[in-house]
Amino acid sequence: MTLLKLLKIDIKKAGWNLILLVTIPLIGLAILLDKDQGGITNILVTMYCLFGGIVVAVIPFAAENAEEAGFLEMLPVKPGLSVIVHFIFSALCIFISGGLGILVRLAVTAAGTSLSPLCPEGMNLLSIYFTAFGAALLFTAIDCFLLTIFRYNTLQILQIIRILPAFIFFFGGSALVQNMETTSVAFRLLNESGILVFIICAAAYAALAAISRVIALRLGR
Amino acid sequence: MDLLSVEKLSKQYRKKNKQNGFALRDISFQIPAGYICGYVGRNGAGKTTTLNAIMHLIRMDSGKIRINGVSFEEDPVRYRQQIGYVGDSSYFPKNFTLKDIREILADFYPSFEPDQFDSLVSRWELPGSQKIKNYSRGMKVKLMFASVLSRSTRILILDEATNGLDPMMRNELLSMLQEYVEDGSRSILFSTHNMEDLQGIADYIFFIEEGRKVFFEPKDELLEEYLLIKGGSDDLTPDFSGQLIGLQKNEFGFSALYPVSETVIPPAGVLSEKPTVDEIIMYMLRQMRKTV
Repeated sequence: MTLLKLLKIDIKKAGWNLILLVTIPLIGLAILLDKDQGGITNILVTMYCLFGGIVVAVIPFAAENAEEAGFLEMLPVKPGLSVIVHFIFSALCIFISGGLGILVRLAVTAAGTSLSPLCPEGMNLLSIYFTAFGAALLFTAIDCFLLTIFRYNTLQILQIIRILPAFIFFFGGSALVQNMETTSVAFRLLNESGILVFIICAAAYAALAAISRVIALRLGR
Repeated sequence: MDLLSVEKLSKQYRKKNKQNGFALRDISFQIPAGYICGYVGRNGAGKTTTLNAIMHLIRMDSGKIRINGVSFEEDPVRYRQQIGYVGDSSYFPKNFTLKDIREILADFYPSFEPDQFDSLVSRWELPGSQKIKNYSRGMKVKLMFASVLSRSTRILILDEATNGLDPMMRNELLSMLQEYVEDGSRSILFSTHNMEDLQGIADYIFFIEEGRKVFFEPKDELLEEYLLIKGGSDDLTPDFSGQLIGLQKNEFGFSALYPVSETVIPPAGVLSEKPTVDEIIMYMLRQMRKTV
């Protein structure tokens, strides 16, 4: 119950930013309809939706400065629990944004609108989705971890930490997907081992959540 | 049993920019239930650091703190439920509204009384749907007080909490603070620069300077220990001036604090009167600067 109450607070802190979880998939769909270049576009749009998810996911960490954190830090909850709830909120953002992106795409396809295939020939869509979600979780975890360590730093540093992993995920991932050779190791990983990649990334997410909790307790102020 | 017990609290901040890091050293004191303790000192003396340590908002290097016999390590939930904290700056997330705060208080504090909260909010005319970032300073302080006075706590910790309040509001709050401890089961730790507040309501005074305790005494005993004396330059004999605290000379004469326990009696022409708490502190600080 305490977890849910803390999650409610994170949702309040995110406020109107949560609309990005819906609007970014819709923008992605508009890009798809306008500039459809084959199955690669669908993958890129999914990554774009996940990029939006990462941006929203780190709001609970980035929304507080030292003074304003006081009320929430003084709440009678077990120490470190709020950090775990931040990570739960972040994971939910990833799944919601990515999931909405996929649903919107599938809904349009089901409606019979003329769109390219969901992925290029020879690629395993499910594996790709699992890899993309796994990578998004990993980058979110790294982002949240860094924000835990640098939480009470200057606003400029926080802004960079907040945005950088999301940009590396989207632009780095897009470049990888568009320029990958079908014979490369990366392609095989993406195409065949998506579930395994997801499981490993999810485990890393949980580990970074636990480490962040310990760091938050040790850092104090 | 002491309601608040602080034992050998120490904290060393790291050095920055070739300046020695600030240190809190072996701070110890106890506040029994039903009393108000004034926590005083200059800016940067360590008051807020001490209060943050009691709130467990910062990690201490060493020391033990218990509230009503409970330490934070033993039961962090119960420890925090017993404390009501009001600072001089708002600690609420700036994009939250009063309704959000009310909801969070109801969720996390079983003893929260919504009717009492609504009554205080209405009395102090705090807007319900406006974001806290748009509140004035005084409104933010009132909201903090409303949030702590509308639930059951054992100790209030106030860090310059009456700063920026108009005189009417300050008087009203001081009355409420006295009512808070009236039943003998609750206490207040009150850090302030406003000695008038302490003169009126404090039972104990803790004076901190450069991270160290200077004294911790019942206020009434403290006021009986010293006299504020003023006289002409001729009255300053070597024996007599050696016993004075914070001696201040000017072209007309001198003024100083005189410990009543001393054996050398002041000369006949010297005027003496009872000092206030801030006069005692001021002269002690002057004396400390001389000995450095």
